[in-house]
Formats: sequence, structure tokens, C-alpha cells
Amino acid sequence: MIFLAWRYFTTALYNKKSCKMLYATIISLSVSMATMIAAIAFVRGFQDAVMEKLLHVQGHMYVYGHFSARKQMNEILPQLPWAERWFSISSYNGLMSTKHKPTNVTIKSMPFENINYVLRNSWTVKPNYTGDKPQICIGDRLSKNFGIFPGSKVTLWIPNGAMEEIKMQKIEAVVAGVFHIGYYDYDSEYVFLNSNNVQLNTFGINVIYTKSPANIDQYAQNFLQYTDGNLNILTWKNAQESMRKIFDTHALGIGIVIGLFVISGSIQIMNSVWILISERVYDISVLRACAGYTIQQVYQIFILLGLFIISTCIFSGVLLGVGLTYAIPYIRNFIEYFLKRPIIDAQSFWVSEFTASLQIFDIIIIILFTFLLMFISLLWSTYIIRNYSISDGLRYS
Amino acid sequence: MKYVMELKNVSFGYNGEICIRNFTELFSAEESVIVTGISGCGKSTLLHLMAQLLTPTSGEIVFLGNRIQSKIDQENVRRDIGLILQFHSLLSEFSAVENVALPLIGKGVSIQNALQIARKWLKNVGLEKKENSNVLELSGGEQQRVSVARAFVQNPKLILADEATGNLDEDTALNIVQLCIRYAKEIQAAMVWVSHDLSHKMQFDKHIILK
Repeated sequence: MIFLAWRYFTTALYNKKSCKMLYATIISLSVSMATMIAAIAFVRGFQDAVMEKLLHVQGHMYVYGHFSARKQMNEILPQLPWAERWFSISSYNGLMSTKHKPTNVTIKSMPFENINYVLRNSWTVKPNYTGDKPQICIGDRLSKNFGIFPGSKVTLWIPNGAMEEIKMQKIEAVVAGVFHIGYYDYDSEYVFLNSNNVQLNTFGINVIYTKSPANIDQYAQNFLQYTDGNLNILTWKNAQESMRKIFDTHALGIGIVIGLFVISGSIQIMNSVWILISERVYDISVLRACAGYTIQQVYQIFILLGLFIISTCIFSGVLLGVGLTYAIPYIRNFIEYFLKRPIIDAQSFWVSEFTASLQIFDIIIIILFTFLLMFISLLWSTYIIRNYSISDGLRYS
Repeated sequence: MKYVMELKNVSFGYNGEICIRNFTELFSAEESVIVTGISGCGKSTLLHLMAQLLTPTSGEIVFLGNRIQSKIDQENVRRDIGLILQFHSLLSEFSAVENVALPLIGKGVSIQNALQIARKWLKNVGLEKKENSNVLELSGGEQQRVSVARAFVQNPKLILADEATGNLDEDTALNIVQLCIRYAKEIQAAMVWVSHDLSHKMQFDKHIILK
């Protein structure tokens, strides 16, 4: 049966009448599938970029508790193999003023070795911590927007105190380093203050970085076993729960829209198989009358023919989709070149740059989904064969 | 005696109009029968009933001692029947040898073996040099010989021919009739030849006239 189906398939590809219809089906289905792959990769890339950049600078686990409990934490953590680094940080919503103007900033205060750890590979200008003046590291957007660079002097205003006794603590600092994370808030609003040279009245919270942030739930459970309930733990997953929900809804929405494209493509497959079968009514009758083929064998031929079409669609769709995914940055650059502005607004979308993330699992799911829909359409469309009378079909000659 | 096919009081009609009424006949192995009659007397309908392309409205058909009762029975019987039609009924996408091999491929014979057997039958009908030609490149007589080879390739128990020489010149027609009768006897098959042309009736063992 494969021999016959393959012959009909290759004939249909070269036949003047049917080839246009067949190529239109293959192209439209391939484009639908490619769009689905590229769009999912695009969304995944965006999500991964947000999460990766977020986790790059934010702790994976936050621990709150009174002083003795924090001391207890410092005794437990060295025994836990998953804990990579832990330290105390202070965070303030303060002001930064330069010669020209003040601006709201989020100030993260920690020793310089922890600043180096948190910002790891993100340096545009790596700081050289010398001297005894308070030093800060700022994002490249903040640097650019306010015209402050390494060596520039700035004043930080940090609220401190409690209840109605809150006062603004003034700190004269020097810009020591500039970083670029690609996460909009950090690059434009965050100031990392080296706490080694400054006296702050503050309560710190403890952050823990793990070796694998994906397993954070398991680590949190493990950690809780040692603490006797003295510590409160908040993981990055708890903190970003709403963002996760947005991401999931986002992916679902795109999946539904593009799934509809594939459904319309499946209807096209049905249409194509109907046409191919209608063109072969005479052949079907000849096969059944003169060659003794059973109706199941004729079904097999046309189901195999449909499978050849579907396989071609899926194969070309995957190729086109992968190509399109890798071409996204070039397409984006090309569009931005003509628009003369970025098409992804970093302020609205948090991240200023990201690459599409192509995952084998996503491709397999898309292939299975597309194949299933098309196969159902195919079975449905071949069912019309049973309506043909052999005797009538022979008269088509 | 075991007959290849028995038709017992078979009737058939289109849209309430009966064209075959209570037809009874027995067909034995190695017997060649010609069925003639005027246009519209039901010759082709009778052949389609025998070929299991139509189902009788009444009566029964027995094939090799087994009564044909269902669509599945009809499909099984068709596998043991070689059918030759007026318009050669070849598949235009396939070469001569592939057309002949089709019934064997349908029976599950490997393509290589099927093509080998098909080549032998094409040689029997004198078309060994045209085995790889597309059937559309062949003359009417050659196409009909391909059709004959396809009907015989699976050694059927019954050969049915419907106006198989209707489009051919006298010499070619006679050649094909003799070829079919010879091979039908060789493979011990019964042969029923439907034709409005009486010129070849002497070649057959039995003559049935439909009225």
C-alpha cells in the first residue's frame, strides 16, 4: 500500500491540476506550524529572560526572623549542600541627588564581596573598591540618564528610624562601577551600596542563593526541618507567583490563537484529501473491481497518502519554525532599523533584550498536537470512500 | 460437480426497473462462455453481478460452493476474479508492469516478486519490451493486453470480460479472445465473455443469449 500511496503522492506533487492545491495546503500548514513554534519560542525566551535576570540579582530564598534565629541559620546553612551563598542585605527606597537633579532609587546595601557575587558577569565598568569613602554601583541606564559615571560624586538619602522618628540619613558616595543586567528596574533604578565603609542603622534580611533555583521548593522544605519554626522563609517562587500566572496565561493565550490556525490547517488537509480522493474515484473502482482490493486496503492507501502530506507539512513546518526562531533577532533588528525605535519597550516589558528559547519538549508537543488534529481530519475525510459505488466509479473513465 | 459460479434465480433492477429476471446458470472450470444480446438487455449488468460489483435484488450467487451473503464475501470473491473491461481500466500513473502487478501487491506479495510475476505475464501477452512504458504511451490493443495480463496474473478461478475487444480492430480482437481462452484453460479458470459482437462466438464452448 505504501508503494501505491507514495506514487499517488509524488504524482499529485507534479500533476498540473492537483499540485497547486497540494502546495497551498503544505505551505499554509507549514507556516501555521512555524508560527506556532516561533511564537512559543519567543514567549519562552521572554519568560526565561525575565526569570533568569530576576534570579541573577535577587536571592533565591529570603529568611526573616529575630536575631537569635538568624544566628541559628548561620549554623545550619554550612551543613546544607544546596546552599551556595548567604548573607544579610538592607534595602531602602531612597533618593539620589546629583549636581543637577534628584531621583528615586532603590538602595541595596551589602559588603562589596557580595555586590561582586550578585552582579557577577554584568559589569560594564568593574568597580575598584579603594579608599574609605562610601562607594556605589549603578545600572547603565541610571548612569546614562543622570550623566554619572565612575568617579562621579552623588548624595544618597536613606530613610531610617521608626514610627514618627524617621529621619533621612545623608551619605556622600562615589560611583565605583556600572553594570548592565538587561532587567529594566535594576538598570535604571537600583543602587548597590558597599556597606563596608558606611554606618547604617538598619534591620537586614537574609538572602540565600542556591545551586539550582529550580529546586527551590524542595530546598525550602529541607531548610524548614532544621529551624523549628523560628524562621520565616519566602522563596523566589512565592515572590513571583503573580508573574508566573501572567506567564502561564500568556503562553495559553498564544497557544489557543495559534492552535486555531492549526485547526484551520487541518480542515485544509481534509479538503485536500477530499479533492485527491474525488480525483481518484475511477482508480479506486479499478483497484477494487479489477485488482481485488478491499475497502480497508483503499482506506490504507489514502490514509498513507494523507500521512505523506502531513509528514511533509510537519517536517517543513518544523524546519521553517526553527529557522524563523533563529531569525527573530535579525527580523527585530530589521524592523527597528526602519522604525528607528525599539519594538520592545524595556520599561513596559521589564527586560530590554532576550533571545527566543527553542525547547525540544515544546516542539514535540506542537508536532503531536498538529499530527493528532490532522490525523483526525484525515480519517474523517477518507471515510467518504465507502460512499462510492464501484460500478458507478468505473464509468468515470 | 463443483461449479466455479452458480447463479440461481438472480434478479436485478435499476430504480425499480428490472433488467435481469430470474437468471439461472452454472459456470464450470475450464469452460468458456460467451454472453451476447442486444444493447440494454443487461449483459454488462449480469457481468457486474458476477464480478460482485453489484448485489442482486433477489436470488443467490454461489462461488466455489459458498453462497455469497455479505459485502465481505463479495470482497473475498473479487480477489479470485480476473476482470477485463472495454476501456482497459488501467491506472495512468503506473507503468505496464506495475499495473499488472497491482493484484499481487494487494494480496501481500512483495513488490519485487509481484513485478517478476507481472513481467512473465507481460511476456505471455507479447509486451515484454513495453513493460516499463507508461500505459498511456501504449496503443489500444497493447493496453487491452496489459489488462488481460492483469486479469490472469493472480491465477483467478473466474475470468470475466465485458466488451473487452469493443474498441479493437478485427485481428487484434481475435488475437485477444484466443489469448484469453488459452490462458483460462491453462489455469483451469471459467471464462465469461460478454459481447454484442457474434463474430468470435465459435471460439467459445458455450453461447448464452440474453433477451
